Amino acid sequence: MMRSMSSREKRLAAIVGAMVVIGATFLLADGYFRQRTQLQTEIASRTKQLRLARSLAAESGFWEQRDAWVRARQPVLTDGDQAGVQLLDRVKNLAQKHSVTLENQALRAAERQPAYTSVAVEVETKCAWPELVAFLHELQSPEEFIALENANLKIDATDPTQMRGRFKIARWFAPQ
Amino acid sequence: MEGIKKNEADAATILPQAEGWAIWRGSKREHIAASLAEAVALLPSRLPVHVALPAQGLVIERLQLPATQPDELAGMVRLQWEKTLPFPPEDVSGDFAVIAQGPKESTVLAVAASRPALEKLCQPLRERAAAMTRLSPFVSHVAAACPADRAVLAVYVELGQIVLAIVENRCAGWVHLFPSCDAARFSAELPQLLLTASLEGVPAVFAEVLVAPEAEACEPALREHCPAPIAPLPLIAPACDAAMDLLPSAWRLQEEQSRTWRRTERRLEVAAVVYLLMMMAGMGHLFLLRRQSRQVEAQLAALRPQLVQIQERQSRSLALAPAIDPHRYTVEMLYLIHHCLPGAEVRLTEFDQTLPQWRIVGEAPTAALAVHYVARLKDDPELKDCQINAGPPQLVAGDRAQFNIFGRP
Repeated sequence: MMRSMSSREKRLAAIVGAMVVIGATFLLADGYFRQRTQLQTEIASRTKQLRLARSLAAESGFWEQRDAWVRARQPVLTDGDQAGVQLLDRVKNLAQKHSVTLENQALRAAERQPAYTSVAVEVETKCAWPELVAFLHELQSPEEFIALENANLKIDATDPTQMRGRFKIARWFAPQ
Repeated sequence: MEGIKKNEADAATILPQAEGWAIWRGSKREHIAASLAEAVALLPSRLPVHVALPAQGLVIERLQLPATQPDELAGMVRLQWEKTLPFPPEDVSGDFAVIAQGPKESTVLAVAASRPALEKLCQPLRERAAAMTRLSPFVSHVAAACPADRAVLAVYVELGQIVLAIVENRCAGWVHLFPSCDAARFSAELPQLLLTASLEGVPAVFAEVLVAPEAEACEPALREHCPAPIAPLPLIAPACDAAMDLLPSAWRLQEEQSRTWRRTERRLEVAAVVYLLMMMAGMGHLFLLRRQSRQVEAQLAALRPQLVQIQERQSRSLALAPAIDPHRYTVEMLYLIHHCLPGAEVRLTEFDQTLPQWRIVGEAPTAALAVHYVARLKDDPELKDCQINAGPPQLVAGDRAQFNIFGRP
């Protein structure tokens, strides 16, 4: 048969009960605040990602048009050797047109990249600054798909009015 | 007034009347039960109960005491009980009412009961943990029903026993209990009892004699020995002004503790409900946050295929930028870095460009001009997409400053 508790025992039981309740409340509150912080951080991060994704999606039309333009206009490589010769001829013609002296011309082997196949020539130039600017200006245009993979320009040590240049000029064909 | 009525309705009074134990709620008699246990069973639990005690088991004495102050009177009554009662003083539970008061003395009616007798009588109430608020002698309720300012002889029956009570100004002044409802015995003992009462100083001349209907058999004897007119005693209802209370202080304390505990229990219940509500609110909040997180994730997932496609196109276009974007052309770069020169005294000696970056080397008359040039490059809106870095200029022959600037589109 159970004996009823004395007042001291009741007080002790109440204190123990209160401690258990306080401990459990602390654990629950701690768990709640930790989870809340984690979820709020997660939501903030995902919302930011979503905002970025939406702004990117809003530019979808621009990138689609640009991609379509690239696919339509990028030249297709049929003969690598011939393409190199054609590029060198174009460089020579432009150099002649702008009074740029070409030296040490060399054809380079085609290089395959994920976005393009590069056919390049290396040339060295000697000319005045205005002629060089005119040459470079006419050399590159979006329709030509010509990139200068390397360009080095220095003032000629013997004649400060002349510029010495060393270029690796490449035409980027559609990837194969 | 409404509060009093509400309290009356929220409490019950149990009176030991002729037919048995009567349960009163407010001014309405609701039930009659054969025993107190049956009466208690008819009450809702925890309802406050006022119990009127039958004269049997009570020691009722008329005392003349040489004091007028209530505390002095209380002490004297207690002394009297200690002297005369056949049970230990700590077992006495009693109270008294002042019947009359002179300049130096008082006449009181002292009513006492032994604690064991009370415990036995009230056992059904205590077993059900009923909230006993008061234990008063039933005779005080009878007295309260009598007319004021006169002496009255009341004859009534409680639980099958005739009670003869002399009431002075609505206060019981003398009480005698017949052990049965025998009218013949009543008739035989009445003259002797009235004589005894008058010897004790109780008024022997009554304004009227009130006889309860169940004691009408006693009327011939009363008519014979009392010259006063006989009138019917009305049905005794609970009296709010029944002055005496025999509830033992220990029981009162227990009841008080029990009330305190019930109050605490109610508060704990409220606290527990609030606690549970807070927990539910917290869980609900977490649930809403999780749902919100899942919704954002779902929206992201829905956009992902489109994003992958856009990113593929974007990366292809960016890879081709040196060939198709005029802003990335060498001549454009040369124009911009030349355009930012602060003056003819700052000159460029070398320009070097690869696909991922460009570098310029130059000379300035002072280090400050070299630094100024770097700042102009960094501030130029056309070069804002370029990450430009430069180390500190180096001083060369002729106090000129040579600088190296790197740019990454």
